[in-house]
Amino acid sequence: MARAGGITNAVNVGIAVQADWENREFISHISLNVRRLFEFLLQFEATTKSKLASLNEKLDTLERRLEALEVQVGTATANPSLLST
Amino acid sequence: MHLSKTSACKKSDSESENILRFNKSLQELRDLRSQLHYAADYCEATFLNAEEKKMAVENTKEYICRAVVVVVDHLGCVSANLNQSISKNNEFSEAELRINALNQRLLSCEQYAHKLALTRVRWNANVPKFHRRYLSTPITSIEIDKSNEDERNPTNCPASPIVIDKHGFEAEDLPLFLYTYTQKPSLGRNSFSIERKDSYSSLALPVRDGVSVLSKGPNPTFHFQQISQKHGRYRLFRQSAHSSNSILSRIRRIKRTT
Repeated sequence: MARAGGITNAVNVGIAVQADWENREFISHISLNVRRLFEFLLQFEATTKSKLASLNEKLDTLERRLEALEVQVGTATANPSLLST
Repeated sequence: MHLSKTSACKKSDSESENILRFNKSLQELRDLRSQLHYAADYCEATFLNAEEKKMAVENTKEYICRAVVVVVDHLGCVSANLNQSISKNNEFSEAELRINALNQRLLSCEQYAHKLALTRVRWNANVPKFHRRYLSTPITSIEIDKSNEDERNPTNCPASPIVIDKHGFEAEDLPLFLYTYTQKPSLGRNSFSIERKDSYSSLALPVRDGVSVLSKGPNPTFHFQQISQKHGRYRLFRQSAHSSNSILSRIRRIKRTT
């Protein structure tokens, strides 16, 4: 009986250890996925930042060119003698 | 103008709506963080209070899996939408094209204005050009001619300045078109003109207009016989007559000898 009880105890311990390892595996999987998720978030942030920066640069250049054009048009309209010569 | 104003108002309204949505979603996320803490506490309590702890663990596992999947799905959706909205640069490209066109037009206008200004400023050479035949001979050569003539003929009176050249033409009697002056005007060659005075006088031949005699050089392979114009034919006639007399005299001699 003692031998059988010892065997059942060992089996129970083995089952518990296996369950514990399964839980650990699940937690590691979850943590790994969460880390991947955060990596994706960081990468996404970087790419979106770069894209938004390029867009901002384009808009800045467009604004500057528009301002320069406005100034040129203003000077041309202020001095009509330049075009009437 | 009115349409542009209405479109601007619509754009501002849509931007404000987007900002409000973003703020609302951020607030929901913060609320969800607190709910996540509540969910963790609930799971812990159920695990401690449950008789069958295996079931509680399985339930928490399933919940965590669903939560992670939902988060990943949500993040994917958000990132895709944001990427799509960023990559939509049609409006910017159109605006850039319009600005380029405006810049080109302004540059062309500026170039045209510069051209017109340059035509005003440019130096226009309106130097009067005279025909060379109406140019007078160099003054130095004429003066030297006069001085030489005075030296040769001291008896000549200086009050008659009529120049007679070698060929016997008087300068005043000839019409204007008979005179051509072939010498190029060289003002810095007075000494040279003094040395070659006779060659100049020979170059200043009276030639009719349109005849380019002086421009052509003398042909070195062709030479005329040096016979005077006055007695050329008479001489030939005399020579031929002389030769015929000698032949007749020879014939007479031959007849006498025979």
